[in-house]
Amino acid sequence: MDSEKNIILAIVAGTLLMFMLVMVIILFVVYYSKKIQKKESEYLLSIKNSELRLLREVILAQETEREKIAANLHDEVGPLLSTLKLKISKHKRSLSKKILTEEDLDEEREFIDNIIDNIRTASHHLTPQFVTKYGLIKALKNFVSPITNPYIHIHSELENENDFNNQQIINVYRIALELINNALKHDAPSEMDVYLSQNKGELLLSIEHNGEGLSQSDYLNDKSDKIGLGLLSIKSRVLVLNGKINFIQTHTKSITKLTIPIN
Amino acid sequence: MDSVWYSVLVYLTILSPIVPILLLFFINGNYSTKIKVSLLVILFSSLISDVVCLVLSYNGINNNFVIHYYTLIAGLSFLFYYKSVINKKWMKYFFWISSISFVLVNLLESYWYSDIYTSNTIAFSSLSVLLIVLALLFFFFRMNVIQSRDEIFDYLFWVNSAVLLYFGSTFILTLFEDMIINIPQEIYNSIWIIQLIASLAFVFMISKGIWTARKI
Repeated sequence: MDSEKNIILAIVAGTLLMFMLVMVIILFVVYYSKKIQKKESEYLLSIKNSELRLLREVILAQETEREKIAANLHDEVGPLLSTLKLKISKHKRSLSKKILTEEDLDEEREFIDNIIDNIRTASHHLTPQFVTKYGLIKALKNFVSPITNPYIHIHSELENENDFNNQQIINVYRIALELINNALKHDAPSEMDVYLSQNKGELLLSIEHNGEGLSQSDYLNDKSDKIGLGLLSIKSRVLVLNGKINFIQTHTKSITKLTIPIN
Repeated sequence: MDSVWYSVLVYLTILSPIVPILLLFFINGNYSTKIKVSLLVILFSSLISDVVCLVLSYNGINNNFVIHYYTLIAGLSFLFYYKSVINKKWMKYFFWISSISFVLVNLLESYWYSDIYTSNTIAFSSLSVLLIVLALLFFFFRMNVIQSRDEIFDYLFWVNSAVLLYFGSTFILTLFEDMIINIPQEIYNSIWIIQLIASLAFVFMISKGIWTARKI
């Protein structure tokens, strides 16, 4: 009788234990699923936020660029043209008095050259025609002029720039410019090397300098105070190019490596 | 428990599948026809077999053979249901292998090892093990692909939880049913309440799942 009672008790206890086990499993599934879903939502929200931020920065960048062009036209081209107009009026009078000299005309020619330079600079800011016309290497070399930046060296192992389309070339050029400008602005390096090469269907851009540079986590998490419009623009361009960018910091130098698939 | 209350609980359990059956018939849900058909077969076979068992027991006729047929039909329907909801290549093979094995175990127990007029403990327990494994596998595959809160508590969650809860809770009871079959009726009824409550919970969770899947 006792053994029968024990068996019944064991069966009831076992059943209740199984019930509790099943409940724990179901609750765990709910808890875990909620955790995963929360992570997913946070990830989606962060993407949305960064997209919004990027959009805001793009609008801001457009406005800044327009202001720059307007300021350039207003402060530089405008006064030059006004001065030129005044000089031409003066020369008109001089011409009637027959006292106009060749030096006067040379002076005006310099004025006109200045105006042309200003307009070219503004136009260069709008679309980098130089890049599409003369190629990436020449454009970069033109940008880092040996007179103004003698410590920046461009090294290229690119076989054929025709492998890349215009969009790729312009974006890589813009990224390179941003990275160089960023390093010059924040790290003030005394040596900088820019390497361009091509390997297994990929274009590689590497910028090495002896400044502090930026870390990968700072870049990814937007934590550094060095993250500004420029780096956000780099992020969006890397995304467009379907590429990868890595920031490496060593004791002696800082290296930024950009890899983009050619096709 | 008072015998009146016990009878009420028994009738309630037997008739409870009517609710999800009506829901399946009258509510248009976001599930495939395969799932709908398998759930209908499970619920209908449960309702009919329980009613037949009740009628037979009142007339003093052995009703175990009904459970044998119910186990076979419901088991195959459950396996078909899991084949429809687990989208894995191996599931197709698993379905055929487990179905054939399950039918063989059923037939062997009903006509060789035991007979059709005694309880089919082996077949029902093997079905319980099979379904517990499938329910756990389903949860395992699903947990990492949840994207929204609605997906956590969708009809698949409720149906799977119902299967896990019912077959998990009653596994020990059905496995050792033969050992408690000869104890005094009153004690047997007290233990069997667990089975009745688990059945009610199963039907409630299936109904909740069907209600959750309704097209709004």
